[in-house]
Amino acid sequence: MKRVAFAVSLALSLGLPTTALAAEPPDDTAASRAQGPMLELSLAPLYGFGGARHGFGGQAGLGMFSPLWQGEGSTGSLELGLLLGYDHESYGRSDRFLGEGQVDGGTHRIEALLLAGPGLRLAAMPRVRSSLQLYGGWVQAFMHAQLDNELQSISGDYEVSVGVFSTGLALTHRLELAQRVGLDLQVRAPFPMVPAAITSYVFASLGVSVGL
Amino acid sequence: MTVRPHLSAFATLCALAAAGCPAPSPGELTGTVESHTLSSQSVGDDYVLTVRVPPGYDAAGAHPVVFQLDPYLGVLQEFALTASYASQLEADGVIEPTLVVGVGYPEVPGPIEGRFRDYSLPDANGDTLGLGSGGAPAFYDFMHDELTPWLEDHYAVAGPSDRALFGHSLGGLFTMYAALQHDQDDPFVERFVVASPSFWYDSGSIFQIEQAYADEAEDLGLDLFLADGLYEGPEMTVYTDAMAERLAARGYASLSLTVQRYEVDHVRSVEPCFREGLEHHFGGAR
Repeated sequence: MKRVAFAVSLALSLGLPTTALAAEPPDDTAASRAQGPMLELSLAPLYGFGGARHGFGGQAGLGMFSPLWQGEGSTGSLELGLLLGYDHESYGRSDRFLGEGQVDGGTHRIEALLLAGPGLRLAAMPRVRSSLQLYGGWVQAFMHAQLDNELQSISGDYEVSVGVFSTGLALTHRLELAQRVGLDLQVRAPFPMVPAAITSYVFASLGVSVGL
Repeated sequence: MTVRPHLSAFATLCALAAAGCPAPSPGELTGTVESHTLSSQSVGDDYVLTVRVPPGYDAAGAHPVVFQLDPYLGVLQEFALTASYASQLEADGVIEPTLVVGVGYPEVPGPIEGRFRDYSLPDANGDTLGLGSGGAPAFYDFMHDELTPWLEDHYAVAGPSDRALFGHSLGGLFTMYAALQHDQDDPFVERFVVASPSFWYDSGSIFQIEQAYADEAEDLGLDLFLADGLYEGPEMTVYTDAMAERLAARGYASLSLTVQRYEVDHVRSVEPCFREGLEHHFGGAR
């Protein structure tokens, strides 16, 4: 019951529909969870880190998982998804290499990604579903800043918008709090990783997903 | 909130250019590569020199020279990059057979600790972030007083007007520092490629060094190729612009200043900076 209450509060805070939370307590067998295909809507706050800067934002996802196989100890699925993300990386909050107050502004990052990969649920932990997905999509970064170094009498503006194709891996663990409600922990990172590149941000999110 | 405790780790990550980073693929390196160890009294340490000897090398001739900093830094492999570009440009008839000299480090201190020691400026503003120990003056003395005479003794090298110093990032900071130590009467090199320089270091103390040079000298007789990447952020581009504006405003009669900005990030800027730097200094732009 505590889990459902937590899920309701988290769903409300993220603006997700809560009707699905009124379902019965979950059936704790892997087989019962191997039915599908099933659509899921997810929402999560987002934390990103890269290039000695970090940012905060949110992401929304629409996913589909379809059972592929079922064994005694585990079940497997195919997981597909569409993810939209936004984060803001403030230079003032983490002004890489610069003294305090030298730079204002930041980067607004928008991502649209497609994900695909296998999912796995172990019979020993039937409430947990894990997936490892490849992703690919577009990343658009709007960077604007003003640097002001009084000591050297240097000041200048920086305005750049750049869009790049990005690929990477997303690892997701989903804990089912109720029959159709999950708590999602996701980490995704670009691959190949190119230090200091536009796409070199690692993201972590903790949010909820609801079966539609 | 500050991330400064992470800076050293980030700088190391940048330096290593993480294992998954696709390495630049400059192409075939022609000629032979020779390795030497040279002890430095100025620094009190050994250096591992990697010398690319071009096809068509003439022991009685006078070949252009590139001194390459950060020769072996993770996957960046700047010696291989520059030597390969030189190979291509020689094969295309753009530049003459050119020696490339990688100034590297033995296992200790290694390429990362070595660069932080040698390329960092002395603490002037108390804002070095603990990234370096300010060894640039001693390393400059090594380059000027020890490495260059050694090279002249062992290889057929051209005079300072046909020698270039290439540095990227913290290496670019040192390269700018070396340019501002320029002694017209006794130069060891007169051409410079300052790529994506870390002018932000110690709250921009390189600008104080530039001012000190301007206070003492009326001219700066060298050829400076200053370049960076558009996507490197304000801490790079704003400072690069500021240095270019200051040098241009000095009105030095003998300074040739070229400024370029490429649509790349910090790691990727080595490729266009070094390739076009070679063409600029030793190709048709001469």
